[in-house]
Order: sequence, then C-alpha cells, then structure tokens
Amino acid sequence: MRSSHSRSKSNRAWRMLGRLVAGAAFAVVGMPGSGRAVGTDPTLALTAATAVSAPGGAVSVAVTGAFSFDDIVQFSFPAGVIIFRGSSYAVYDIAGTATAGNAATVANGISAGEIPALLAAATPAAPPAALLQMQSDRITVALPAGFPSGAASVIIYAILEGEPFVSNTIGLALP
Amino acid sequence: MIGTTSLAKFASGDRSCRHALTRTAAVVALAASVAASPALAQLPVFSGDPVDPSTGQAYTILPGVALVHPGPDEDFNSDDDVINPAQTGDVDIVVRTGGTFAGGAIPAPAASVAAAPGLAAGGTHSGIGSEVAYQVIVSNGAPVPAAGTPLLGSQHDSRAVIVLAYPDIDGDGVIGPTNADGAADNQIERQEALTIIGRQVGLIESGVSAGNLGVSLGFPASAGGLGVVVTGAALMGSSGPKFFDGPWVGTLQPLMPPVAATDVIGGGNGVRAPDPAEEYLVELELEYEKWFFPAPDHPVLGTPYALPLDGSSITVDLLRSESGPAIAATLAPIVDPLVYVADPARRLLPIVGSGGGREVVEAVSAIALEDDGAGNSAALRLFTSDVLGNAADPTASMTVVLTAPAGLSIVSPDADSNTQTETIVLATANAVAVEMDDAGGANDGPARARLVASVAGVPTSFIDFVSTTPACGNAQLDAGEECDDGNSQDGDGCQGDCTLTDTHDSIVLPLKPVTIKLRGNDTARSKTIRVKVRNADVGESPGHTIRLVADDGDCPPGTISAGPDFDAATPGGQDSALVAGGSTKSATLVVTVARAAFTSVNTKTPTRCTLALHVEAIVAGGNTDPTPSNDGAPLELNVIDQGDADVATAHESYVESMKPLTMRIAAGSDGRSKVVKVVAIHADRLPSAADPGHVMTITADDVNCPNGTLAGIDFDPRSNGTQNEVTVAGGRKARGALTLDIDAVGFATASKKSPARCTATVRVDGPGGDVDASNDVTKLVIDVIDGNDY
Repeated sequence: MRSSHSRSKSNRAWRMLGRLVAGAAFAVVGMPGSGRAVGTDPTLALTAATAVSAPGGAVSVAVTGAFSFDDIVQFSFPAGVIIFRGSSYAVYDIAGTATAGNAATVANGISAGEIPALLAAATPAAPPAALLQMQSDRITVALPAGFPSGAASVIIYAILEGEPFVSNTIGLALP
Repeated sequence: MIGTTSLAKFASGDRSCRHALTRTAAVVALAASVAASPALAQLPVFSGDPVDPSTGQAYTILPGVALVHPGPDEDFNSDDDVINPAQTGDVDIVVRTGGTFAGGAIPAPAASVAAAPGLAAGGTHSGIGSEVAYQVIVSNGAPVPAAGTPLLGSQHDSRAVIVLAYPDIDGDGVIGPTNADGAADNQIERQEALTIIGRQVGLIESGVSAGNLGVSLGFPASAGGLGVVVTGAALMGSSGPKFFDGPWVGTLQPLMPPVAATDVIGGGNGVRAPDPAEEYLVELELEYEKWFFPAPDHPVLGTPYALPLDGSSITVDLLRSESGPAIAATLAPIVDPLVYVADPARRLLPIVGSGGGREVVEAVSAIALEDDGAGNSAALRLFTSDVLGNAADPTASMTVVLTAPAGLSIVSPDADSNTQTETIVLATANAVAVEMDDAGGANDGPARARLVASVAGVPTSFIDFVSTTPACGNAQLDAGEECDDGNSQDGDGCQGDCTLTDTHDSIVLPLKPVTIKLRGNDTARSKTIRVKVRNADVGESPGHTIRLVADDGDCPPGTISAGPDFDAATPGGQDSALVAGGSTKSATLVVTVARAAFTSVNTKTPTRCTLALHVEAIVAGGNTDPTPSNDGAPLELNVIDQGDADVATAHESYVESMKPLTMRIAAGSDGRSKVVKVVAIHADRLPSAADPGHVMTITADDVNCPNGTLAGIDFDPRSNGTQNEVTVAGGRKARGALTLDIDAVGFATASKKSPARCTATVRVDGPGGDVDASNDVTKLVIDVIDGNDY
C-alpha cells in the first residue's frame, strides 16, 4: 500500500532514514494484504481493525497490518495510530503517549497533510486511553472514556523528514 | 507470500545527521577507494580461501562449515547442489557485543547469556528499551588465536555489513534445530533461525564496523532474560562504490542464506530519478526461498548451523534481552511442537510456564476450534506482557478477567463454576494455563467466538475461536486421524475421537453338546456347565477383563437359570474376570430344563435347543476384537423327558449333536482333511419299530465356513461315491462319514491361542411327518489353528 507523500530534498538525513524504513517494509512478509513499500516510503498498511469491549464498558482496538516495526526498534521517528469517529479522534504515539481532540475535518477522513495539525491540537486523552501493545503486525490501544461509539475509522501514520505519511483507512464499529 | 526479506538498507546523505555521519565518511572513503580497490581475490579477508574456478571469486563458506554451493542454477535445494567437506570455511569476520574491542586481539565472546551484555527489548529510539554496542571485525582467519587476527587496514573499507540477532526462543541454549534434545521440537528450533529480532547496518572502516543494536523480543528478567545470538555478514566486492560484485563473508549463521545485494540507487526502484552522486543504498536481502537449511545430523555436514549460546561459537556473540514492565495481560495458544511448521511469517514468543519452565506460544489473534462438543479443546496461556507483547515481570499483581460468549467455554481454570467468566490473578511472570472448548454439542456453535482478557476493565488481549466442522466424523481419513467411520460411537473399531478402538482378543472355547434327561416325576432338572474363556493376547499383563454373556438362544426363556459365574466364592454371579494374556478361566453356568417347557417324542429321542454364549473384553473406551468369529459358541441342549408319553410318530428322524472340532494346520501345509462321524437316527418306535424303516437323507451345509469345507457325507463306504441316503429301521441309528476339507487359505488365525472359527450344520431329512424338527439339525463348530498365519 503506497501512502501519499511529497518529498523535500533539503534534508538528506531524513531521506536516508526514509530508506531505512523502506527496507523494513520487506521485513514484514507473509502478511495478507501487507504493502510492500518501495523506494523511500515507510510501510504503513492496515489490513484489519477490531474493537473489543470489556464487561465494564471500556473499549480496545486492535489494528493489524505492517508498521515498519523493526525500524521502530532501531530508529527514531514519530508514528502512531489515529482512531476517529465523527469529529472526535484519539492519537496513540508509538512512544506511548495517548492524546485526543476534536476537529470537524476529521469527519471526512484524515489526509497526510492534516496530521501535524491534528497532533498539535490533541490534548492528553482521558483514561483508560493507552497504547497496550505494539507488535510487528498488530497494535492494540485502549480508547479514552467517552469516545463516541458507532462506525469509526482508523489509520496509522508516520512522519519522515518532517513529512507525514498515512496508511489506508480501515473502518470498524465501536461498541 | 513475498519470498524475499530485506533486512536493511544503508544510504549516504546529509553530513549534519548524526546517524549519517559515519556512513557519510564511509561513503567518502568509498568514493576514493573505487579506483584503488584491490582485485577481489587479493582482499586480505579471502587469504587462503578456496576459489570458485568458474568465477575466479572466493567461495562463500561459513566458518567451520563445509563448502555448500548452489551449483550452476544458483539455487540451493536442487540436484546440482555441491557439498564438499574437503573445503571448510575459515574465520572472515567476527561479531562482538559490548563494544570492548579496541584493537589488539579479538576478545572472546560471552561465555553465557548471563555474562553477555544486557539490554531492554524495544530499542532506544522507541523510548521503551535500550541498545547494546557491537563491533564487526574483519579477521585474517588464522587458526591461532581462535578468532584470527584483526585486519584493521583500509582494504575492506566501505563494504556494507549487516548485523542480525536471533533469539533462543525455547531456551535450550542453541539457535536452530538440534537433535541433542530430541527431534520433536525441531520445527520450533527451526523457527528461531527464521526469526530476526534485531538488525543493523553499517560500513567497514579500518577493519571494523561499529554500531548499536536493539532487539524486539525479550524475556522476564526474573527468568534470566532471553538469550540472543548476534551474527554478521558483509559484502566483499571489488568495485566501488557499492562493492556488490563479490561474494559475501559471514560469521556462522543459523542457516545458509544467500545474501544478495540489490542496487536501489535512485530510480532503481522506479520511484525517483537516479541520484548516484549524492546517495547510495545497499539493500541486503536474505532470500529465504533459497536458503540452505539442512535438517540436524546431515549425513555429511552434521549440524553445523546450530549456534550454541555458550561462547563456543567463536565468530558470534551473545546478548541478554529482558522485557519491559508488564502493562497488559496477553492470551496466546501454546505451540504443539509435533504439528508446528516453521515459517518466516510466523511469530513465536517465549513465556514462563506455570511451573517456572520455558514454554512457547504463538502470537496470533485467531485460532481454529472444532465445534464438536466436549473434547478437542484449545490450550492457551495467559501471561503478563510488556508493550511489545513480550512475557514480562509484573510490577504488582495483575487481576485479569476472562470473558467468553455463549458457545465458548472456559474449561479451566474454573474457580467460579461459570464457564463464561474467570478471574485470574497474575502475581508473577509465570503464565496460567487456560483451556477453552466449544460449548454444547457438535456443529451447534457460532462461527466465531471471542475470548477477551481485561485488566482493570480494559481489554488488553483477545483470541477469536473460529469454529471448524469436526474433521473427525466426516467419514474421510484426515490428517491426524487413525480412522474415521463417520460416527462418534466408541468401541466400534473407530472411536469417537477417530482413534482406533483398543484391540483385545478374547475367545470362548467351544462347548460339547449337553443332554439332560428328565426322569420320573422330575418337574425340572438342572445341570451345571463349565464354560472356558481365554485371553488370547499372549503376554498381556495383567491381562484384560472378559465378560461371558449367556443367552437362552432358541431355548425356552429361563433355561439359563444362573450364571455365568467366574467366582463361586463371591455371592452373586460374577460374569466377568480378569484373565491374564494366554490364560483361560472357567465360569459356571446352570441350565435348568423344566418339564413343562420341553416335549420329547419318546424316551429315546431328544428335543433340542441351542444356547448362545459369547465373550467381550471390558475395556474403557470400548474394544475391537480382532477375531470376532471365536467370540461366540453355541451350546446344543438335548432334552429327553422320560416322563412324556411316547408319541406314535408318523416319521421321526434326527441327527445326533456333533462335538466341536479343532483342526491344526502345520506351517507350510496347504491344509488338511478329516473324517468325522455323523449319526442319523430313525426314532419311529411306536406302535412298533418301523421295519425296514425309512430313508433318511443327510446333508451338510458349510454355512459360514469356506465353501467346500464340508466335502461330503457318505453313509455307504462300500459303494462308490458318496451316499448320503440311508435306510434305517425304527429305533436304529446309522453312522456315516463326514469329510472335512480344511483349506488353509480359507482361515486366518490370529495366534495358536485364537483359532479361526466357523460353524457348519448337518441335517437329516426323512419322510414327511417329522414330529420334532428341532433335532433334525446339529451345529458343527470348527476351530482352525493355521500355523501358516502366525
């Protein structure tokens, strides 16, 4: 799955990093639907999203796909998961920070260009929002209390060379 | 599946980037070295190495391993593969962890995981882990010292290096399959060689490529952490700037992967315009499709690719990876080593078992579960995990609530007598075993049911159980089934779980006919009959329990008035007994004939009925008897009621009951014949004995014996041929000869203790008006013990 990008040639360091991440794309093999990124794109490909609720009402979401996981171990770059429903969105950075916000534009989907603004506008999410697990093919997060139920969407993003990339969008139903 | 796994790339770029600085310098040096690059075979690292005559380049041979070469087709695992034990690789490069090499002799690797540099899984850049410094050192391969002498000159500069970390998932102290601990878990061990948990790239500068390595897999510190072996490989071409045109050298690896270099400079990938003046990429690939990965104990190679974690493999080094703090509870199915098949796309996790030992689970979110009712359950483990999903030490006791929907059952643990929920406290890194099964019966569950593990009300893990139609019971022999008879009945030869029913051989010995005479004013008379049973499983100890079942057959109900009883000393009838293999035991059976139930034609002529006896082995789960023919035997009962008034018969004829017969065929013989006596009796005595009597015809029927077993009956040996008719005066009997022809082909004998059995009949027919038809036929039980069969 290719993600949208436009590249600045002014920062060769990030370009190199982009290539490192691209290399990791090939490390995620055998996954149905995994994107085999080429060139300098990070691997950002979602194949499924599942919402799970507990008897107490808390909801977690597991997204599966390919995330340049091995590069996350070796290199540093912002990346994470965004779940959005209506104008509400929750952001889970791979460093473990959970934030949330509201933006009218989200209702129409999230483009790569909107990522910086959404991240900047988000504030710490209400408990129990948390990054619960980050594996090579799956990321599991807990939604903040009060996050609206119903048909929602999820994307993963990465920022390389200051340039945002987003994955395909996956729909899911939040209980 | 994408068959190629690219492990890393390297590029030169902005000199201001800290990551890029060393590489930029390397690329500068690289550019300078293009023209001055030495001829390939002259690179010091190849000194003394064997050269492929077809290319003039040194072979790629792993240290201490015989030459393995893919041959002209460049693919391993084909007919032209070359294995040459006469040529063994020397040391070319050495990996050391901890960053302690500062020139001079190459230090020894860590002697154990405990002594190896430790790190926290996750890597520094993720913010959750740490890294360990490593160095890849070019060596001259000299035999002394063991790792050779460093080649710290500039001849190898700018060659790309890849560093790979492999986990000891099963904790056996070896990466890769080995038969040292048995072969049953070799696929799990093979998975270790296909699981790269950390990788880094760099360039050689002055004989060394240094960097830092993070890994993604860890193990609880309380359990000693995870043993990790770090290996390396480097492309050693002669033509800069990329040096892709030569063989690669490597440390020992857990398998022989064809490392290929792919030039993706600029538009090489079709994305951007070529930009070779500013940027270079090296993509090192491990083409798993083309690996050379022999099974342990290869007849020529032995097990060269298994990497021990004890410091004895001189070219590699160790790490100890510890998981981070537990933040979640994770569910995962335990791996069955007998059915697991290693694959680069699969991911195994080491966990701490409930008893503290190492266990292996697979990180999956869905597993199949047969919708077959009770049985064929799924074995899971519930354990505390860090943010990477690694088994981890909890910082405090973690209370986990498991919830399952209808259709899914938490079989164990079950402290709350509720199969839909369970609360489990995880106080240590030790996992808890969870057994799940479908609820209800077969084919009645939902297509998919989800087990959720929640901590503090937040779901942290789940497993979807995907219902499958039970393969067992579909009347087709599927993988893993011993049989499938299309039903779930036990004891019918194929158990409900598609395993073969236990096989035990029991027999009842054939019985001689019994005659009971009612005298005078007897209203009834009883007779105790001894019936022998045998456990034909010779050598079975302590044997198996045999039950003797006696049935009135066509005799009047209640003829069997007591028994069978194997133990007279114990009150009540004991119809079963434990019988040692090859032994017999006797049971008593009381037969009572009531005058009112039997009517004899006259005081000399019996009326006849047949009791039926059979044996069965009492075995839990049922039993299949391999020789069912000898499980049963008839018992002919001839009753003469001397108190009955003689009947003026029209024409009464009968045949005497015949004794059972045992025929032994010597090994090597085709069979044998035997002549037995048949007695036909003319019972017409009143009002006067018929004289000269009447003609009786005596016929034999093979019934369930092989055709031709009863070869002929002859009541007149002085005449040619067989004469099966005879004229007998009233009250007289005639003796004939019945020839039995036992063909070895027709009988299959399990053992000399378990004969093949068949039953034939002999019948006499006289003129019409026979008063009692019951005595016109007798059963002839034939046991055959064929020495050719056992």
